[in-house]
Amino acid sequence: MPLFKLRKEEGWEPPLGGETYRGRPQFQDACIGCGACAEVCPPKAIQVKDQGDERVIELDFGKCIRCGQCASACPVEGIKVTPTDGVFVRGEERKIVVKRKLVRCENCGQPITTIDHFRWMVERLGTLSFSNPTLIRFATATDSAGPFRILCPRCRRLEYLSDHGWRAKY
Amino acid sequence: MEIEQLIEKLRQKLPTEEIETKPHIGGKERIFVLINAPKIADAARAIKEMGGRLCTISCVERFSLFELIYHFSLDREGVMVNLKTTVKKTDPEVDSVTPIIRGAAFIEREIHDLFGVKFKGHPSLKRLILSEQWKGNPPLRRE
Amino acid sequence: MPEITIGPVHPLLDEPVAVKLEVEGKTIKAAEIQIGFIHRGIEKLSERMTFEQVTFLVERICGICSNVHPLCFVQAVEDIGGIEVPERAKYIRTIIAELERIHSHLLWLGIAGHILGAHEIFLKSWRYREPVLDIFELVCGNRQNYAMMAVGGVRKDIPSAYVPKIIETLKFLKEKVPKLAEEVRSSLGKRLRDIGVLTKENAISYCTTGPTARATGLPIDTRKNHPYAAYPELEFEIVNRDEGDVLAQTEVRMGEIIQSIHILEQALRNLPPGEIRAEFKNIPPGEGIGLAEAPRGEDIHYVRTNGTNMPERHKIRAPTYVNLPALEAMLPGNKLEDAFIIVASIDPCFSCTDRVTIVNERGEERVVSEEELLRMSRNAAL
Repeated sequence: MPLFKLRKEEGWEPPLGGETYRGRPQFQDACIGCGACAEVCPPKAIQVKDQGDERVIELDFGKCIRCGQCASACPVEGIKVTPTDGVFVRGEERKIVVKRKLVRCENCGQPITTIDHFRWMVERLGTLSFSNPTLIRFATATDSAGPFRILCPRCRRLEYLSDHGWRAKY
Repeated sequence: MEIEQLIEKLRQKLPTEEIETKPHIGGKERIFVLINAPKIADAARAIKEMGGRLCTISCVERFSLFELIYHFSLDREGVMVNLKTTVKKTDPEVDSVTPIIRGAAFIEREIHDLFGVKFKGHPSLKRLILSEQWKGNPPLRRE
Repeated sequence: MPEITIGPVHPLLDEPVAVKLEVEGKTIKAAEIQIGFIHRGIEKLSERMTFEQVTFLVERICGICSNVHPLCFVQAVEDIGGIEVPERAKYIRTIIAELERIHSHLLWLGIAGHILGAHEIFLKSWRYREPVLDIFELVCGNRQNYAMMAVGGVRKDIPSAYVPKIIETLKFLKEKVPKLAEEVRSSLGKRLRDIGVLTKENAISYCTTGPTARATGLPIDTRKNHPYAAYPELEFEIVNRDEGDVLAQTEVRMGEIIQSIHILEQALRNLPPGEIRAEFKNIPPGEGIGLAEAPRGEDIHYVRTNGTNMPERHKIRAPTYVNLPALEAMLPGNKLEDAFIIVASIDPCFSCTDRVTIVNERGEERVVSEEELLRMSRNAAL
């Protein structure tokens, strides 16, 4: 890499360490939008923002400490640590963003999680997912509403207790 | 020296009856001794005469007390002896061990800065970590 | 008597400290140390982060002893939970700790050379440091903040493909370091002899640790007194000298580099196979103490938990904290031009000593004013 080229216009490139260098994290296509990376990030550089029917996960690279915990905690290799790095980051380079479609509770309207996350859960649980009315909707992959509603855990439990619990018999 | 012999020796020398040990995986057990606040200086002197080296003093805030833990290391035997004592939060005052162990000077000044515990007999209890213009509650307290 | 203050910000000091010297003519009569310029609030920040996050926070207390603070912290937490660390993880911890000791002592040799104007020694010792840092980049991913420690073991494994590279680096160091030591002795020995003498009684009464104490004849070393990681199974010696002056400390450090190479060869030869991390459910309420030997002395972390996944109180005492007051006994009686090398001879790491600046932007440190600290402590209480 040439010395004394300090600006991109002059031909500066971001420094590339060896392949094992722990540098800039990058979201991959495999990301399911679960938010595990945001929970473990020590400086809380990753924020999860739910707006409308979209979940935006945003990594502020200025706060990133390059620890790699996001990549360790991710269940699907949806975020990976690349060997590039940068010290002065401004503008669009500072935010690393991924967007996924969000699913909201049909009863209370609170965000539950993303469609991809549900599909991942169904794949991991296998036939056990048929014990959960919300997951059945994602397991059977049908567009029709069906008898079961998509509910957040709280509403799902309230509906079960009040509509189908032993009290409902009386 | 075995742990039991060491505990017996401590029981004779220190002004206390309550000595408990805590197992430590991969090493010798660690000894915790509960001492009343007025007797802490005598206890520190006794441990120093046994060859103990003061590692540090920790201060933990409880509901209405401050718990001070003096960590000593008996290097020859490879055992840690920790003296625990408590002072009230409303007027936290305890005897300083700096006249006995000179290395405790900075440590006690830091606890005074961050928690507000007063050490009687300390040669110069000035600000160590906080700046001179700091006004207000000692920072590491809950409030 | 005129007073001369060195610091807090000075081109020759790595980190801020104010050393007030009372001088008569050119001889120092008394000295007073003032610290606190890099106080960062790490103990307060620990109280609202989970155990895994605190491991990364304490890594950034110091740039040179970056491995020993997480090692001490995870040992304290394992002490509370009664977690047994697998054998392979213990050996990997030892390997990283000894590599760090080599690079820290070589860095100190360079600083000593730089302060005394021996630029060849500075350039050579920092040049020999580069292969060690390249090993870190290969194994851990970064030359400085290794992120290898985790509660219950280590985070990443050392694949066997990397072991020959480490052995090659050790061979290179074994050849070059003794020659460098000879050069230090012949060119700087006369200058460093009999200055900054610390007597054994003062070393005991100020509770010093590390090479500063070993140079006065005290045979204390946490790796032998309170063994941890894989040290009970490895053979090595404690390097001691008797004189207590700056030359003795230099000899102790150079001897320790050779001992570290010896430990590393044994550890790499006997690296056992197996798991690198133990599983555990949760950390019960209790208290624990972690001890480790940093390149500068003994490091101790005290952690108290209350059953949640965050520590309730985390107390850190870095080695320079107890070695600094010894300067008040080492400085008087020496000439003013020797003041710098005496202050540098205890290998001061003021970042470890103060531990209270806010580190949320990468690498940025600012001295925090009292309004900001007050706001921080109020926000933390919410």
